[in-house]
Amino acid sequence: MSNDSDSQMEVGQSDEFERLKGQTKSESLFPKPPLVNPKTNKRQDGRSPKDVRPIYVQTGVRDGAKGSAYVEMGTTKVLCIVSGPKDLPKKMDLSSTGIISVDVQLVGGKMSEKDVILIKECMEAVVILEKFPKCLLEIFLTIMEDGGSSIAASICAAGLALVDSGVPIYDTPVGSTLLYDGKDFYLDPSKSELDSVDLTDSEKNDSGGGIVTMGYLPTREQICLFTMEGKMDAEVLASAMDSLTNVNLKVFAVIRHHSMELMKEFKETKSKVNK
Amino acid sequence: MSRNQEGEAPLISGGSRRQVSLFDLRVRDEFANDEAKGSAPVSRAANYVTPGTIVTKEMGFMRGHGTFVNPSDQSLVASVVGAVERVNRLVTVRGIGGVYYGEVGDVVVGRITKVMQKRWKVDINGRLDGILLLSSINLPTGELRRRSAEDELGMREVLKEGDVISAEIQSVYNDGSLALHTRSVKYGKLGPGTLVKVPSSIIKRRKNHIHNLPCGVSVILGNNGYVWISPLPNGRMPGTNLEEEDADGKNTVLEEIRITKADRMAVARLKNCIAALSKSWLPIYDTSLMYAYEASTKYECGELLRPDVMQEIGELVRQQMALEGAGS
Amino acid sequence: MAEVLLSEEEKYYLVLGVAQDIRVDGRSRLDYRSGDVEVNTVTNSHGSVRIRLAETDVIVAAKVDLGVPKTETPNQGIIKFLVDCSPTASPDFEGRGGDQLAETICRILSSTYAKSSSINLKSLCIVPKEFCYIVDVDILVLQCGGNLLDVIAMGVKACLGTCEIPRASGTRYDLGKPVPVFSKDEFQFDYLDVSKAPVIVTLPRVGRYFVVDATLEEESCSKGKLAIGVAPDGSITSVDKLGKACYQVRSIAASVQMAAKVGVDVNKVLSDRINKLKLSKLHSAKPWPPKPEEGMDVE
Repeated sequence: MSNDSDSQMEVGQSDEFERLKGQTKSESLFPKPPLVNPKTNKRQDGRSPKDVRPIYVQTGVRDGAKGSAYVEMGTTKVLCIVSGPKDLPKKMDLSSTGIISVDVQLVGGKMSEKDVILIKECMEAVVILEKFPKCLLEIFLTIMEDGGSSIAASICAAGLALVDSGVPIYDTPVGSTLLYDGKDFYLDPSKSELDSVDLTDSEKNDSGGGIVTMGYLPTREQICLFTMEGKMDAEVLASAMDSLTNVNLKVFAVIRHHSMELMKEFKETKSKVNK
Repeated sequence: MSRNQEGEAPLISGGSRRQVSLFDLRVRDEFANDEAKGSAPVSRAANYVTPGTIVTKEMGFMRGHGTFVNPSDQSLVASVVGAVERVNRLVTVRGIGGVYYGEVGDVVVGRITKVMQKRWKVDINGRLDGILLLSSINLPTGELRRRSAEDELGMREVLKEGDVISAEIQSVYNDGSLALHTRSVKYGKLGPGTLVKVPSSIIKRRKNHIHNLPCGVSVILGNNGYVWISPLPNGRMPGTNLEEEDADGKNTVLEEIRITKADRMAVARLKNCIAALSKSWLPIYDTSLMYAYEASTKYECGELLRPDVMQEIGELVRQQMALEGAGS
Repeated sequence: MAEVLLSEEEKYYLVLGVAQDIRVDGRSRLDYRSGDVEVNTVTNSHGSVRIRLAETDVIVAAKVDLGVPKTETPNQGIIKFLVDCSPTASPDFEGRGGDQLAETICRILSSTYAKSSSINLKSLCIVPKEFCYIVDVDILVLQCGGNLLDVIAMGVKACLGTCEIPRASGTRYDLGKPVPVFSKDEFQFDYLDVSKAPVIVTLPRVGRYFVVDATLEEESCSKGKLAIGVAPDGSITSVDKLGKACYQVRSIAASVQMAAKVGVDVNKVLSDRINKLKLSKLHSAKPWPPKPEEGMDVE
């Protein structure tokens, strides 16, 4: 496993933030390089296995929407718009708590129904639904580019959009992904890394492997979304969860920093208005 | 308790009785032979009819459930599969499975489905829902007075959707729906326990349907096929539906009711016994329940879920009932 | 899944019972209900299984077809799943109600059986890049009495394990392209090796504890569940948190440990039954064409 130094997270707020370039579909058909370059012990994009890609967050990107957020985790770009709470349309039954609907658009593909349901149930656990009975809250996600960890980025974007909209929530959800190739953990895998671990081919990986995605509520220390596929032992899965929890806390630091910046701006404008 | 709270870490595998989980999956071929060996219910002589069979051509009979009059020749024709029963001039066909027809005085167990103005709708497994009028219950304070507007607003405090009650059929409306009442102390809201559903026709009609059995468990054999098993006396939630002298204004809190492991085992065993009797199509009443309970003691409670064990218990009970029948 | 209306008192009784390890029907938290499994329920398929666990009743049927492998995986066959939750199974499944559940189950099965660690897809390939078997697995839910996902997963494993894959005895060349030749003897078939295929253990959380094989009433008392795929060697193949509840890390870790132990036992029993089913198929196989009865005229 790699060394224990804390990775530095970049919080891109200005134009100096550089866009990372992902791989095109045709490029991904070329032979896959190994996950870690044995000479430098670094991954293909220069990170150590425990490093997370740079995260860029922005809220209020859509003027017309009640709440909106844009999140970039490396090459993965997700935009989220929150609409509501508004009255339930006539065809839905009345309910004593609020109802959430989640719609996910993936550019160049379609997110599987099961993943959409996972995100929806995560949001239902996060939003304080008792506060708006008989109302509908719509969450629209657009994944402009899926460079790996799209579910995790969607959770972060949706959480931030909810913060931006003022809808009451229990905690700010964050998400992250982990890749296991049978030997080591690789955090926040990129699409090319996910493709290179081919779980369908037993010759390439017999000792197991898996992808774990975790949505986390940092202040409450609870998991709001969890999915794993592959083949892992129970103990390996437990230590993967610990690694993911640490990463999620780091991601939360970035998001919280942004929320604090928002608060500062709000206070400044408010004091200007009151003068 | 908010829905996201988890509390302390759950003891997941520690503290369970089992080390290895019990999983019993049979292969159907070997099992199909066992079923064929079991005996079918003994059929008595020729009273069984099918829909369309003419029951009688004579005039002067009153038609009961399960029959209709053929307009062309005025004969009485059966409309369900079952046995013909005749009481004086009333002819009915009692269906084998079929819908529950309530009679005045029946004890039923039902679940509240709706709270409406001045009445509750109760699911009693019949053709229509039962109706429990606000005037047909004892007030929480035990007073005897006319119901007021406040009582109407507070209906949900007394009984809400999902609550289970025991009640007696007061009367039958014109459209067939049943009016219930819980005006006696032995009826009313039911406390912690479990509901078992069996076909209404195998509940044997007796004088008493609420039994506090010697094994420490109470059972209410609703005529409608809903059976309530509970460790509390009469199955009832204490502190509800009180007589005037007992009402002291204090409600029993649900969380304060303690149930011992022995009681739980007894309830579970009885529940499985009822399922076994139901599967063998045996009549359910206090005696047959006790036979089944005694026969089941050689098995562990969880084993009673196995189809072959259920069949064996059915056989033993049938034999005992035949002996009793021959002796009396 | 199907919701049952329960009173506060019933829920109190049920949840405390789970805590005391005596469930409503007397089982412990780790016990399954009684069930049975049989083969050959759907005669016009290559393999079919009907599996029942108490009230939950599911039919799984597999049809094998000839097709072309996918370009990304030229030397592997394909297994496709289709789940149908019919409205007869539960009133909740009317209209679109059953579709969401069906999609989730379908996705879990597809990703489980796409892994080489579960099933050897190469054994379904006849000629790399040209011909392979496509196995269409149809799952029909007849009745939902709780714990649907587990029963379906067991049924799928049993069905794939007893599915008759025709044996290609060789290839001949037709205009320069290889074409597989199938033997005329219908007794020459192969079975898929499902010895590493996983089973799913769904653990709904009732109160503070997780239970195995929940009834509909127990599921109504739980706010969320964990669906954990366990392979016969005890390794975990999938974990999905379903439902609106949130968990702590140590809860998920502990429940995964519990599921691993339970899954190993279930896999052992299931593998044994699959072998018995294969034997019973051999004994009941009838010769074709059927011989006419004595004394009957043959047209």
